[in-house]
Order: sequence, then C-alpha cells, then structure tokens
Amino acid sequence: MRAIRYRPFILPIGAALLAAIFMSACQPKLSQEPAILDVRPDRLERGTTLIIEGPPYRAMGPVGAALPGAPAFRAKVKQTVVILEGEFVDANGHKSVRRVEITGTPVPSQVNRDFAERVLVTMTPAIRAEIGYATFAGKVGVRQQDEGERPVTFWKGDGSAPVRLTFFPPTMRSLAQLLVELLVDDRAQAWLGLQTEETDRGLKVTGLEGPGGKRSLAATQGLQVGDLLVKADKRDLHSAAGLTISLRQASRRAGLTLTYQRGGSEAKITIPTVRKPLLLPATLVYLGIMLIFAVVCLAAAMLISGVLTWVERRVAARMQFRVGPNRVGPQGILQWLADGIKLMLKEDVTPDAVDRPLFKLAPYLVFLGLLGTFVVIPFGNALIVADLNVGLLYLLAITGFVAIGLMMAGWSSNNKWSLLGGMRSSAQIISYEIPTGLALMVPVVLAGTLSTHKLVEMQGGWPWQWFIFDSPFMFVCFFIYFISALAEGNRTPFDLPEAESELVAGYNIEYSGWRFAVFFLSEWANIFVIGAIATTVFLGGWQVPGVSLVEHGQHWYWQLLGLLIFFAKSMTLVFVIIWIRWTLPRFRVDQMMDLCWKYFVPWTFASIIFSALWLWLAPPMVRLGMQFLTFGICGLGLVYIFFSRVIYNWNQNPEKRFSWNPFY
Amino acid sequence: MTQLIFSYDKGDEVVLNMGPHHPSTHGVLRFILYTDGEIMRKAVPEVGYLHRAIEKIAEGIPYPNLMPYVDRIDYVSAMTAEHCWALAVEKLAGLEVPERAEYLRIIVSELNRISSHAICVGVMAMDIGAITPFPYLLRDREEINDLLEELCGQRLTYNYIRVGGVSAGIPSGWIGRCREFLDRFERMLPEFDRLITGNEIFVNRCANICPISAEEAIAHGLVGPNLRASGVDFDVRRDMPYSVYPRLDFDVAVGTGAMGTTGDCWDRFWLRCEEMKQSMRIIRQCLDQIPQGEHYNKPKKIRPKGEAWARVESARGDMFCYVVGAGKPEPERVHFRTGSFNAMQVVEPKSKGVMVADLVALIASLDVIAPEIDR
Repeated sequence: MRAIRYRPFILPIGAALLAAIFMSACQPKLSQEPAILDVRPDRLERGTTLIIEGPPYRAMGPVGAALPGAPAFRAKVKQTVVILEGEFVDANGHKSVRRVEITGTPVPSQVNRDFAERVLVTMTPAIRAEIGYATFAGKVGVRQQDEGERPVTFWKGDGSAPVRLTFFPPTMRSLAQLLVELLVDDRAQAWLGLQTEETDRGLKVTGLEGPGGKRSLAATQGLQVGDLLVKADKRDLHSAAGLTISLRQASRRAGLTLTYQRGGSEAKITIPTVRKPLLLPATLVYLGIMLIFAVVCLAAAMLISGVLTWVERRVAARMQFRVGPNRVGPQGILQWLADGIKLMLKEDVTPDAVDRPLFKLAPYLVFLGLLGTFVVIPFGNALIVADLNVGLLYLLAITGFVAIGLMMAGWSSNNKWSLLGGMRSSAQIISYEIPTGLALMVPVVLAGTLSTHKLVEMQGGWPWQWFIFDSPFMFVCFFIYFISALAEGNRTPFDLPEAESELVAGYNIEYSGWRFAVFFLSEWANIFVIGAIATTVFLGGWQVPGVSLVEHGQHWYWQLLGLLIFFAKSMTLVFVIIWIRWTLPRFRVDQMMDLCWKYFVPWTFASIIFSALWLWLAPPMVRLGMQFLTFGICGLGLVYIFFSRVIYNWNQNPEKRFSWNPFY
Repeated sequence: MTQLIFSYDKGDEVVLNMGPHHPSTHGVLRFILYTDGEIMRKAVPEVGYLHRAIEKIAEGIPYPNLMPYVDRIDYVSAMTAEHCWALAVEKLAGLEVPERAEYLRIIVSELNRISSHAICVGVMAMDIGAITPFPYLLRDREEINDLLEELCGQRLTYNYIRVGGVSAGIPSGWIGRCREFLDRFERMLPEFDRLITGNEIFVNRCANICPISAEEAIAHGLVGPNLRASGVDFDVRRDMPYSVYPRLDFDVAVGTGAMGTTGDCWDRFWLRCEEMKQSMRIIRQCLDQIPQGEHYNKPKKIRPKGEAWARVESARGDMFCYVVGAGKPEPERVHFRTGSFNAMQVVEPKSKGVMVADLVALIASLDVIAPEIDR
C-alpha cells in the first residue's frame, strides 16, 4: 500500500512565487512617472473641454478630424511654449486672471517626422506650483520657437467662448507604489537625511531631517534647504531612485560626491560612505515586496473564494427551502475553512494511468490564472497591486492559463469523461474569450486607456456617470460581457465542462484532496473576478458618489468607503451569478457555441463600430443627453422590471411573510 | 510518458461507458455509448443490474405476503404496483373489496402518482442542469410521504394495499390535511411552470429532441405518459376501467407538440405536469365521495386455481400482472409487465445522431426506474 503523501502547502507557496515573478515582470516603471499635460492646439475647438493630467483626458468633442487652418509645427522645432491666457479657478474657488507660459516638447507626427502634431508638456512640480489643480477658461496659444526663425504664435479660443482646461492632480499612487518608493527608491535619502522634490534640472532639497529625529548626515556635510542636487558622482540626478543607485555603487573608500547648485553657483561635497548601509539591488528588494503582495493577494483570493462558497451554499439553500450550512462559526460562515482543512488532510490520489506531470500541474495553472487577475483589480483608489498600462489585455491574457489548465486536467486524467470535459472547456473558453474581449474593448475605445485604475477614474460615482449608461451600445456590451464571462468561467447556464448529469464531474473527475479543492477555490475566485471586472469597467468601480477624485485621494475614510462600494457592487453581481446558477438549466454544446458565434460576436463587433462612430460624430451635448437617456430608459427599466417581478411574486405568496434578516 | 488508453480503432468512434453508477442513470442502468466526440452514434442500454428475481420469489410466497416485494418493483410509485397485485389476486380468488377501501386505494395511488411524477419532472429538470426545481417538488413530495406515513407508517415502500382491502383506515383529520396539501400544491404548479416548464433554455433543450411518433411508440410498446406524449390517447383508468375510476371525472392529457414535435422530450415533461393536475382532481372527488364502512375484508384462506390478470395505470404507465394459481397458498407463476422495460428499447434507435446531453434528456424523459426494468 502506498503511503499517504501530504504536502498541501506546496501549492500556496508555489503559486505565490509564480505570481510574484509574474507581477515583477509586469510592473511599469518604478519611480514616479511624470504626469503629462497633453495639449493639441489643432484639436481645440470653441467650448471644448479637455481634462488633462492625472487620468488620461477624455475629450468630449469629436476626435480625429483636423480642423481647417489648424496650426502645424514644421521642421526642426526645438521648443514650443504653450500659453494659457485667461481665468484660473483653483480648487478653493479663488479666481485669478493670468498669463502662464509652459515649455513643452513637440511630438513628431506618426506619419511625417517633420510635422509636429501635438505638444507634450511635462507637468513638473514648478508648473504645478504655478497653476495648481485649477480650471482654466480662456485662450490657448502655442508659440513655436524654431532655430533661427522668429517665434510664431497660434491661438485657439477667445474670451467669449473660452477653451476650458482642467488640471487634475496626478493619479494617486497605490500602496504598492508607495512601498516601492519607501523601500527601494528613497533608501539613500533616508540614510542621508534628505527630503527632496523632483524638478526639471535635478533634485531640490526641501528638508533635512535625520532618521528618527537624529541629526541629518547631509546637513552635517553642509547641504542646505533650497539646494539643487544635479549630480551624484557622474550620474545626472532626476529622481530619488538615481541617488540610491549612485549610493549603492559608490565605493566605501572614495565616498559619494554630490554636485549641487546654490544661488546660481555649482559646488561639490563628498559624503563619506564607510558606514553606508547594505543596499540590496533594487530588483531584489522589489521582488521581496512583490512576494509580500503576492501572498496578500493569495490570502485575499482564498478568503474571498472561501467565503463565497458559504454565500453560494446559503443562497442556494434559501432558494430551495433549505437551511444550508449553519453549524461552523456564526451562521456557518467558517464552513469553507472546515471543508478546506478536510480536503487538505485527505489523500491526494494520483491514479496510476494518468499523465503524472500534467495531472499535477493542471490545478496550479488554473489557480494561477485566476490569482493573476487580482494584480490589476482596483479595490480602491490606492489599493491596486500594479496599475498596468495594459491592464485589460493582461487580464484577458492571464485568464488564458485557466483554459490551458482545464484542458490539461481533462487530457491528463486519462478518463474519457474528463477528456470530454476538457475538450468542452477549452472550446468554450476560447470561443467566449472573443466576445468577452471585444465587449471590454468598447469602454476602452471610450476611455482611451487599458489601465483598470484609469478606467475607474474616468467614470463617476453616480450611476449615470458609469460607463454602462454611456450609450445603448455600452449597455448591450455590459450584458454581453457578463454572460460571456459566465461562459468563460464555466458557470451555469454554461457549466458544460463539469456538467454533472452528463459528464459526472467533467475535467476534475479524477482529482481528490487538495488539488480538487484548488479547482473549487478557483471557481469561486472566478465569480468574484467576473463581478470585480464588470464593476471596474462598467459600474464605476470604487468611485464614491459626490466625492471628487481630489477629495477621494485626501481622506482615508473616502478610501474605505470606496473599498466598501467596490465590494458592494461586486458582491451584487456575484449574487446575480449565484441566482442565475440556481435558476437556469444548462445549454447544450451546440447551442452554447451558436450563442457565442452567431449572436455575441456580431453584436460586439457592431457595438465597437457604432460606439466609435458615436464618439466621432456625436457632439458633446448629444452624448451627455444620450447618457441620461440610457440611464433613464435602461437603468430605471431594469429597476422597474426587478421590482415589478418582486411585487408579482409577493402577491402570489399567500402567506405574505417577509423578513429583512437574511438568516431568519 | 504514460500510455493513454483511448482506442481509436474504429475511426473517430469512442466507446464510453455510462453507468451503472452515473449521476443521470437514476439507479443502476448501464448504457454503452458509441460517440464521435459529442455526437452519439449509438447508445446501447444494458439491463439486468437490478434483477432481483421477484417473479421467481413470488412462486414460494403466499399471495398476500408478496405485497412488500411488489413494493420493490416500482419503489417510486409503490401504491400502484400494490394495487395491480391486489387486483390480480382478488380477481383470481374472487374476493370482494369494501367500497371504502376502493376509494382509499385510488386516493393513495393518485397521491403516489403525484409524488412519482414530481420526482420524474424534478429529476429531468436537474438532468437538464436546473437544480432548483427538484427541491421545489421534493418539498411537496415530502408532504405526500407524510400523509402516506400517517396512513400506513411507511414513507417509500408502503405495504398498505392488501388483498381484500387496505391495511389501515383513515386517521382523524387526515382528509382535511390532504385537502390542505392539495390546495398548496395547486398553487405550487403554476409557480413550477414559470420556473422551468416555459423556460427558454429548457424548451430549447427539450423541444424537438428525440421525438417518438405514435406509430413508433406503439411499435416499441411504450405505455402510460410516454405513449400519451406521442399523441396516442390511451389511459387504462379510462379505457379499461378498474376499481371506482368509472365514477370519477378526469381528463386524459395527450401530447400535442406544443413546443416542437409531438412526442419530444418536452411533451413527455409537460404531460406529467398535466397528469399531476388531473390526479389532484381525482383525489378531490374521492375525498368527497368516500363512504363510511369497513376498509379491509380480510380473506380467510386463499388457495385459488386458474389464471387471472390485472392492468392498472401506474405512474410509469400500463402495469400488467399475470398470475396463475394451482390450488396452493403460493402462486404457480407470476409475471409483471412493466413500462420501464419497454421504454428502454426505444433508447437505442432514438439515440442515433443526438448529442450526449440529449441522451440524458431522453433517458430522464422516459422516466425509467431500474428495478421496474429488471424486477
């Protein structure tokens, strides 16, 4: 008899490691990215509103068409100045009429390198200090300064119908980024006792306080507040990260030479580095931080999916006149823990005839695919592991692991029912990835970004500001996404790969013990992920109604409320998914494929084309009107349908018994 | 690498073994599926896994004592099987049954028919993938079980109907509780229809799937709901009446192909829903008409000679019992002809070219009970 092998903790550790490696490969630039002010004078129109900086701007006007007589920047443009002349209203409501000039860099056209289409203005702290987070109304000019030519100024807008620009604060940094800055980039500053600010020319010293109230090392060496650090050894300084790299590379004997500007003159000091701390390579520290986040993600995924198993069982029980698990913990909420421990302690049987490596790997891949999605889910303004600029593409790509894992499980089990389940699941997931991806692309067309965090920032707190009600196409796309995601997640009515009455248990028929538990954890993690993505992309994410982004970033209680709102929306969708599962029968394979290829794929293509046309052709006011109209008809229509059904069923019920207590 | 055991020596054909323990074979049925991917080439039923030789056992057991064995022939609708055996023996021995017992027999048979159809319909919904309708009907079936338990102390295999009457009379208040149950169940059925019968996905899964025409149904010897779903208007209760059925007013539902072809899976499903309504009508009439008096005319000694048969409309259709007596306390030969056995014949011709999921719908819609196939 074979001994029972008991290694249940390999999976969490392995998954965490894999996820950490994956996340570290995906994290964008480490240091704080300078925000970009993107002014396209040739695209500006009378009454145009542009939202600039922070979230990528969402142009309310037509996109694409060049206006007649639009200025073009020709040949060898060295420097361009954007002139804002008019009234600035800052966040506190103070008005001032000013003329502000901002230096920018012209970006050559994609088509003709000599032809600059737009001007990029880096939003440096200096500009921020001058403008603040204000709303500007007035004229926008662009002065082009060619070599050897006279400056030419183009103007857009006049006093009567001013150009409007809103300067938003930069995208809030997530906790992960802050931790990276603290533990990776700012290590040299912390040791030197420096506080700095990044500027165009270098690091400006803003404070000299040592760690833990001790005397600052930099101050002892003669640095003062207001100095501008330009070089560390031979490296030009632009960021705190650069200082850290220089300090790490500086030899202990020679010291670290800092070049600084004070009052127009340049000077050097050498800081002795004999007692410098051990500075690990940034990548290594970074990997460590990401490992922590991976473990946090893993714990969150386990917790969410575990509790959801209990939720599902209680909801299902209520729908079927049963009680459901209510013994372990208050109202049975710890049932998942008991089940999980039980499955951990069971023997993990690997049948003799299976393809051993694939059989063992399959559940890991399925779980990895779902755990990976937690990286880009914005739980709150600051609660996102990595705000990837390819967020949604990453999501679609990483869930591909699930298809591979299920197919692997089905094939390697060496069981014909498993094989049928695996074939069904791969066919189903690959087919439904198309409508899922396309339906998600419609909000992307609207927002102009793939980043999940920015997609949330582009929406508002109130329902009519959500993307789902932006236009009827979005409304359709939401439902296509939701249904396709159900199919991709093998949930009823698309649970064909594990159809109990047909395939016994489908792909997981030969699995037992912990590996079986992992399949189930993945299934429930998946329904949360479906809800979370739909919330992020279509339902306004963590946005709090009536609270602006600026305010939201300033107070912890808004952050907390945002997190709660995010969970409330996601859980509502999760409830709908559970509700569907316990109501509807299952599709047949061919019907499921018909639904995908004959209906969803054409509908999503049509939606993309129509919403692109809509964005291009509809004037801002018409779009705003349509937004309210969609909300009024579709949103309130949904509410009406829901309540009319509730009232109908209430009247059917002779006993008229009702309780707010879900556990009554 | 491990050698995989799939054999492809018949082109793309895969031989799949479905059962005897498979979630949708309802007991111990076995089908050998020859499939090309999801498409079925042939499904061959293999019977005999629950053969208990009840007919042989009967030859060594006195007539009245066989009743608990008869329960096991059709454990989902045991009352009708008991009724069949009792009728056959009473006919053979020339026994009289009190009128109150006749009514009680019909009440319990129809209650049992409701519970049996509830199981069939709920399980079919579950095989199609909707799990909730099953507990809905199971709840009502529990109430029927409670009612029958009050009558005879058993919940599944009752041993209630005896040769010469029924084993126990009505406890006090039972008729009122029965009426209450009927009132509740009557409200329940439209709710059930809204939940599943008219459900778009369910209709798509069942309509036009494996339709059995009237000729095919008769040729394969289908009986009961399966026969009527194919459009053949035949019901033993009406056309070859026994007991007090002639005094009762009820309709016989016939499949019309409302959602597709006559005799498809949806028709068989719908027909059972309709029969539950008719059964309620019958029970109500019986509760109104039931006379006072004796409920059991216990026979002294049964040693009949000759042969007799009885036919009843069981939940699975026309149940036929043939019994030969040779002047001994035990019967010489007993034979039960049951609907499920014939229904299994139709699986092989009807499974050609359908999908695996359709086969599950077909098996569920035929409402076969494993011990009734093999006895």
